Amino acid sequence: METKEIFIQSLKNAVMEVFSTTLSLIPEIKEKEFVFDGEQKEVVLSCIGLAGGIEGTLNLIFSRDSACNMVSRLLNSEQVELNQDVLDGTGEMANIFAGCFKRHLESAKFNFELSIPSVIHGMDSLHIVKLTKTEQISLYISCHYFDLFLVLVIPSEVQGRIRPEEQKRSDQSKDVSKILGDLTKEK
Amino acid sequence: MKILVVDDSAVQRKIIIQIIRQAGFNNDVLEAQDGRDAIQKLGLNFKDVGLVLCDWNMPNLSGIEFIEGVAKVPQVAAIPLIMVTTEGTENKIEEAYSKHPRLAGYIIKPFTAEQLKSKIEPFLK
Ligand SMILES: [Mg+2]
Repeated sequence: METKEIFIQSLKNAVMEVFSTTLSLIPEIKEKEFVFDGEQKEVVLSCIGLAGGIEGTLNLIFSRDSACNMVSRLLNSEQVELNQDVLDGTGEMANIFAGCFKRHLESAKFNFELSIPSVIHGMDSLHIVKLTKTEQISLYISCHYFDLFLVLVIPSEVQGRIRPEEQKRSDQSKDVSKILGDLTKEK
Repeated sequence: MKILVVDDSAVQRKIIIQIIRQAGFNNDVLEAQDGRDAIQKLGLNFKDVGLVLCDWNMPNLSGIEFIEGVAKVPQVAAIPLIMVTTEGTENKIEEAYSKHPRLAGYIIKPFTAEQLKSKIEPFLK
């Protein structure tokens, strides 16, 4: 399986596991590019940084109502506004998704560390800018109570060239030394 | 006997406490928001704390650093401590047991109420 396919499958498996375990829900998952259509004005993005074997970020994006409905379900108590619990809950969900994704990638020998979550709350519009040399894997996840986007941002090379067993930093530095050594060799 | 719940997510702490209550235990629960807070809460209450549930990824002082420190202090090393974390790969679990060899359990997030209940019950009876 291609690296990108492994990532998509691991993300989907993680989503299924998190939904069924913490929310007792079976979601529908589609590969779909992220757009915030502005039908609802408020947006919440929770983000976990990945470092090591994969470097990037895992992002969950919710409308205000979806964030409230997800945390209502988590806590078994209705949340009607974007209070501290709702914002905290979106961060903890990002943490749980990222950890679960990491566990599902373990058999593919990808190993990486997770940061603590950060949560961003804003209005009107949101774009995740595609920076040079990065790729985005975007899933649209929906269930009866809420929907969200999960966007994994990773270096484009992870998908194509780098094999999991080649990811160690020491190996990378060896590559750098080798290339530099070759380039600077006197002819 | 008191239970110390260490997690940087207030929602996660609430979920854990709900499960403890639903399981019928009305022990006092102390909450800590990170490893540093946990040092204070445990240090000041070590004679009363009978169970610690500890997250891994937290700001300021992580769960793994906290439990490594706990394991080295005889007064608290024997208090049952269960990791409750999203870090569930084999090498992370091994790392936790190597830092705190007397670890009383390991619960991987996401968990069901039933899973948490069955792991903590033996220490609360
Ligand atoms: Mg945490």
